[in-house]
Amino acid sequence: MTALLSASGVWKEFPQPGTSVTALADVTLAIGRGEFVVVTGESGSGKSTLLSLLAGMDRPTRGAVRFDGEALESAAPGRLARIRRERMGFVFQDFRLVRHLTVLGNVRLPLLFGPRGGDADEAERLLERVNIAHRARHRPDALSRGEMQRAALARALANRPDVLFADEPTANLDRRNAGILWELIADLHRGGLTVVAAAHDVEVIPEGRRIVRLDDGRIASDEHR
Amino acid sequence: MGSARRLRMTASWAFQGLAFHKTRTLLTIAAVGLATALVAGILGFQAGYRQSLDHNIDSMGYQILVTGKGCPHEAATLILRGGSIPMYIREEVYRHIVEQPEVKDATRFFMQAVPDRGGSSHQLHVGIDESFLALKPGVGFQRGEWFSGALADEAILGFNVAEYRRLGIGDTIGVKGRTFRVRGILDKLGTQDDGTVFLPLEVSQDLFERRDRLTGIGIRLHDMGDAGPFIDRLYDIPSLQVVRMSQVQGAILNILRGVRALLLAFGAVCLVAALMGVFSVALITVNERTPEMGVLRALGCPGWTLFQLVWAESLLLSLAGAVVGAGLTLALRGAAEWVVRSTLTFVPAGTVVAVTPETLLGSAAAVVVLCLLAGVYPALKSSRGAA
Repeated sequence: MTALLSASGVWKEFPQPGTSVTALADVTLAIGRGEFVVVTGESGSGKSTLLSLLAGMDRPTRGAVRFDGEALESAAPGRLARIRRERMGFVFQDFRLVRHLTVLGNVRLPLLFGPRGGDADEAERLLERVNIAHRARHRPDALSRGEMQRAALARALANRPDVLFADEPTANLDRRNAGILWELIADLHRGGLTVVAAAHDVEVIPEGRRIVRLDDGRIASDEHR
Repeated sequence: MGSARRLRMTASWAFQGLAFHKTRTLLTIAAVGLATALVAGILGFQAGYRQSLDHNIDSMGYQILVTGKGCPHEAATLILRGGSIPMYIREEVYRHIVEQPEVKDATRFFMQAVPDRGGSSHQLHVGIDESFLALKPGVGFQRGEWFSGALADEAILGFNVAEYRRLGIGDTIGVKGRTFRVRGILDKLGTQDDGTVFLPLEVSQDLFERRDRLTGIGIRLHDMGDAGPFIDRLYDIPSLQVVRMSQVQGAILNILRGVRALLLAFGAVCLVAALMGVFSVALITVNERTPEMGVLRALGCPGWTLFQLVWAESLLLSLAGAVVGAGLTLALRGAAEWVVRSTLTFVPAGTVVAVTPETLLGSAAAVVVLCLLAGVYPALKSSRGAA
């Protein structure tokens, strides 16, 4: 399988007064096109840091990160932003919906700056796909947490990404809603989408996924479950 | 995606952002509106006062005014606004003046203001002869005609006097216990003449017991280049004051300069306050939405697009404020005119707060541009945020 994403000898250190905190230490990882990879580990193990490096939101202190053959660690900020808006989708732990926009407005947001984004009808189709079309004209604060995260998922898909990054997308959801969201993501994966997710609790994740466990910034295990 | 659609979405984002904070938005729009109205009002006053003064002075028809000894500017102002001048010159001075070779036309008049409506106002009476019309070629009769004789108990009314008192040709009007028949009504001139009752010169002098006395002589020269030597010769006559109308205009505008400076300072303070409002709202928006901006950056939103989103809010605020300001200006111009007339010592006849479409558009455009400038820093700040 061709590697869509790769990290090679990646270190990430956050400087502090008089010292530095090592978030990732010598991480090497390759993720193939169409894979569903879950990065797991204790809080502070470096899951979110690894996702942000793979998505080009941050740069490694040392090492190389590549997306579809292109080095992200040395790419210009504008180029990184372009890759993100054209080829990546994001779901965050705390939803991060824009509160003054309706659900539909939030899903349409990537259309503001993404040339690959679909039209307004597609935004409504995405809401139907995540089963919250009836909430399209509501503001985020009128939605349940499960609905907010499904709206965030629809927004992440609006630019028809090659890879979906989901950083602990179910951390703020109950078990039932967490299950629904993972099923939706698994369904998208079955349609060919590459998924890279961070999760604290892997029990709710559908079986047959690749689980990469981080421990204190290092890869402790990398196996299929 | 088409640029029109992107523009619509940007406007929609900005509008929804503003609508989410209604009170803050409405207060800012009100501040911008007030600033726009003030700027338009001050500019309208500057232009209107000057135009009205020019019109009033031009409509007098003479370039030089001769009065009795005293402050010539005071006399000129009294003549402009209408009032009793307690200084007189003899008739022979007029006869001497009209014989001078530089003089093209001259008119003599006798002006008195008589308490009216129980003393709450004054009615201006001016005694004139045929030379009055020679200096005012544009003046015509709306109805009626010139006095039938130099000693006739007849009156010619300014347009407003006839209008307000509902007088027509043949009606009578009383002055100091004497009755005068209305012989003519002048066209509307937009000057103090509209509010004047004109009487035959000799009748007027007789009525106010000042025979052979004049309050002023207006002079038009063949060539104003000869004014210097001509005026010097007039000063050989004792107890005379001579003033050019251009000097009167300059003196009045000089007096007004302080008022204009004060108004401009006030307008500037209001404008700065409005700009601070737009700046604050934009900055608060950026600070409040730092997480949202971060998400947009994470989703790959270019810095320029973030700049546009925040700047669009400043644009909407300023446009809404400008529209409100234009409405306020139109709604309050009558009140502004009243304030000016109540507070300033001398206000020429006509509209002194002249709000033209150019004034309105210019003020609104200036305020919009300044508001957009005030919104640049917050917009830049938002565009530089991290993912």
